[in-house]
This record gives sequence, structure tokens and C-alpha cells, in this order.
Amino acid sequence: MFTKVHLRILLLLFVAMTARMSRGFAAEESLIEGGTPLRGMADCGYGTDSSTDLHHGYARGVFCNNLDFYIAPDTGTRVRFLAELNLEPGFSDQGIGIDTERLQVGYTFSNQLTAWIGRFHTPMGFYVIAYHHGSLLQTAVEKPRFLDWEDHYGVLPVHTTGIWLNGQQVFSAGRLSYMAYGGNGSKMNDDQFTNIDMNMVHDDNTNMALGARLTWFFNGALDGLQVGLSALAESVDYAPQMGKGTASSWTGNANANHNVNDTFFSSKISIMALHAVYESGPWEFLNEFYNFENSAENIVGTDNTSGTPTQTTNSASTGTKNSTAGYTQLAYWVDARWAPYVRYEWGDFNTKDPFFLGQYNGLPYIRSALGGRYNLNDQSAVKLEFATTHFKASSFENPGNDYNQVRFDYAIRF
Amino acid sequence: MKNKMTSHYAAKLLTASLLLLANYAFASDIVFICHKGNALNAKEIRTAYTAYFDEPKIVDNKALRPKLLQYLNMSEHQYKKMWEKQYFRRALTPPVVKKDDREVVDYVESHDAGVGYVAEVPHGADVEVCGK
Repeated sequence: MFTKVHLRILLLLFVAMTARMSRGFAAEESLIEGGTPLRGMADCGYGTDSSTDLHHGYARGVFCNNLDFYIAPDTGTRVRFLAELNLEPGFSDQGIGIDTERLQVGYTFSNQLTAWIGRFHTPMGFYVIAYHHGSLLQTAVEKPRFLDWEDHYGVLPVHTTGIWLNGQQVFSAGRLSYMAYGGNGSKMNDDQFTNIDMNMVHDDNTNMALGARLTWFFNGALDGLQVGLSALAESVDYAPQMGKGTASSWTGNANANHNVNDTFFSSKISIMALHAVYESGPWEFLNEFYNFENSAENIVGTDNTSGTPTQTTNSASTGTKNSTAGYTQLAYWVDARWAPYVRYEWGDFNTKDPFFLGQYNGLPYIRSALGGRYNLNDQSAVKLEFATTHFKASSFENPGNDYNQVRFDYAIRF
Repeated sequence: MKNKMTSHYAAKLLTASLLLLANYAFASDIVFICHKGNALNAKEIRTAYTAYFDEPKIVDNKALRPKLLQYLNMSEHQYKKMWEKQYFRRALTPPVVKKDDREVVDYVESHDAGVGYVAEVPHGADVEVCGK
């Protein structure tokens, strides 16, 4: 529970760390002196929240997030390789799992074209490819909720297994970065709570995920500003192993009919994202806007008792559904060490869209966060964040209770 | 009194101008070298050293890095942070660090897309002066 005692512990911890350890700021960092650098990031901290939802229990008490290793060895002028392995505790069982976050092999034909094959961060918007597991890289403690990792119930496919082409062209007015990719389309998982799965081993259907991203980097007076447009289209199938509800529950009705009628759907998702990011001098201003045009098909209830598929198409859930999501985040670096920040984010997810309502975190919400970050040295930082989350609906999995949250995070890289 | 003030400001102006000139000379006091037959122009050199190009194998000269940073108009902190980010985001290998001109030249000679910077090109080095 969120109490004054917790708040005091957090504040004391934050002040003590920033005061004592700032002496270490002069710690030296070096570029490669030879050999292949194995890099990594990790973070631990303490958090508490006012939620009565068991799902948010992971944020209470002392937590250890990821231990993320990444390596990009020098494999010659044109051959490229990147591997990122993440050791992370499971949400519910708290056991440690090993995830291949990225495993990509590439070939650079020229500065205008590099081709990759493997599993990579979906080139979509800004946050997904800029920070991802880089807890130290991101200024804030939490990432925008809707951009969280799939296995943390983020609602978007932030990883893709496929082929990725990228390159850039330099002009006098700036630089154009372009990316195009195709890969295994995602599916819905149904382990404990429903979440999206990026099909790393093989595709579950014949529909590919196709996407592209264009970003313009300004020069001159607007140096530090980038503006980009991303698009992604794919078909996501949902075939639950356990009963999670009926098509009728997708109209927003929380009265699920568990283990009687399972439901199958195929959702064609179409995402357009705009981002405008300004990182220059002391300012860090991040903005992303996502628009979704999703259409669900083949909503069929299956009677588990007889095993006979029964057509229970719910007209309220079929057809194209529009949703939006986004955030704006502003940080100001008072000096190289210290930055306060604010963020406002929202997910205006259509409650009749099976793609969102089928996912645990697919409820419409707004979230505001206020925090501060203090760099102890180039390789570590402590952060403190206060956030409040308000849900606009509930679902059969998620009661949608509003909650306040405080998190202290100590992040390092090596 | 007025003359005294004028000469005071003139002295300040002269000092500032000299500092500016010295600064300019300092910043341009490095020579970029490329692997023979693979010369990059000034814009491309800057792009390579600001971690945006995939192709060049760039090398840092430890003894001259302050001059490179001046050329790029970046602090050491910004330079390292930028490479850390690009290593994580785009698997771009940060520059290999060599201790002096001779080692930099050896690296550029032996790598097809090698790019480096030196105080002066050693006699007989099989590299191309670039970045013009």
C-alpha cells in the first residue's frame, strides 16, 4: 500500500544516493581499447502503489528488473552482428527467464543500405528503438505503458523476427533515415493474462508483418530535431488455450463466461505513428502519436464441451475500429547530472476492438508522471518517479482500478 | 579616463580575437586520412564521426581526441554518450582507439573503409588525405 512511510523511505534513499555518490561522477569511461566489448544494463529499485489489482504487485517492494547483455562484435567491414540477451524475472512466478531480445546478422552494402535478418526491435516510432531495455538510456523510470514489452503486457509488437533493411542519405539540409521490414506476424498468447507474442521461432499464419519508417534529422539551427513517420500492418490471430470470455465480453462487458465459450478472432491491425523528438543542449522533448485502424474478423465462439465451433459473431466487435495512443515527455538537464521530467500519456483504445480488449493492458487509460533523474557518473543513475494512472473502462481480465505509483530506480550500464 | 577605458576594451577585444584564432587553428589542426581509393568529403567525415554511417571503420587517435571533439563541437561526455547509444541502437561499433599517428595510419592502411585523423601524415604512409 502507498503510505507516508514508503514515501519517506524513497525520498531518503534518493537524497542519500545523490548526495554521497555524486563524488564518483568523475569516473572514467573509455571507448574500445581493443577486443569486443560486452555491454550490459541492469536496474534495481523500490516501488509501491495504491492499486488493489494483484497484477501491479510486481511494483511493490524491492524489485530487480532486467540484467541485459548486448554485444556487437567487429566482424569486418561489411558483416554485422548484434546479440542481446536479457535475464528477467517473470511477472507472476518471479522466476528468472532468459530472453533473446535481439539476435540479428547483417550485411552493409553501403551507407545507403544495410540488410539484417533475425529478431530486432520493431522499427516503429522513437521510444521502441531508442531505449527498449536500456534502462539507463531512458531518462524516466517507466516507459510509456502502451510501449512496454510484450511479456510485460505491452499492447504492441515491439519485436519483429524477419528481415530489416535500413540506410540513410545525407543532404545539405539534414539526413534522411529510412527503414523497411517484413517478418512473422504476431499472435495472441494466453499464458496467464492475454498478451501479444512476436512468433520468434516460426510464424503461426501466412500473414506477414510489413512496416516502414522514415525519419528526417534536421541540421543547422534545428540540429537535434528529428521528425518521423512509421507504418505497420499485420494480422494477429487469437486462439486461446483456456477460456477467457466470449465475444460478448468484447463489447466492454466485464461478465466473462469462462471455460464455456472460447473465442477465436483474427485482427488486421494497421498502425501509423508520428514522432517528433528534440534532443539538444539541456532539452529533451519526446512526442509520439499512434493511430490504429484495426478490423476483426472471424469472431467465433467454440464450445469446449463439444469442441464444435459455434458462430457467435458479435456485430459490435467486427468492422474497423479506430484507436489512438501517445505521449509527450519533457526533461530539462540542469547540468550533466540532474534532470527533472514530466510525461503525459494516453491510450484511447476502442473498447469494442478485440485486439485491445483481448489484451490485459488494452484498456483505455491516461497516465501522468513526474520524476527526477540524477547521474551518479556516466554509467549509473538514480531516478524517482511519481505517476498516476486512470482507466476509462474495465475488462474480464483487468478490473481497471485507478492507481498511484512511486518508483525509485537505480540503473547502471557496464 | 575615456582613453584608458577605450584601450582597456581594445585590449579585451584583441585578446578575444587571438583566442578565437587560436581556437580555430587548434580545431583545424588535425588531418583526416582515408584508406586509399575510399576518400570521404568533409560532410561524410562528420557524419561518420557522429555515428550515423554504417560503412566506415573509424579510428580514434587518443592523443588528438580533444582536437577532434573541437572539430565536432562536442564534449567528451556527449561524444561517448552518442557512441554508447548508437552501439546499443544500431550495433555500430564505436571507434577503435589508437595511441598515436603511426598506429592510426597502420589501421587506416589495413582496413578498406578505414578513416582516421592524425597531426600530420607520416612520410611514406599509403593513405589518402580526405575530409576536404
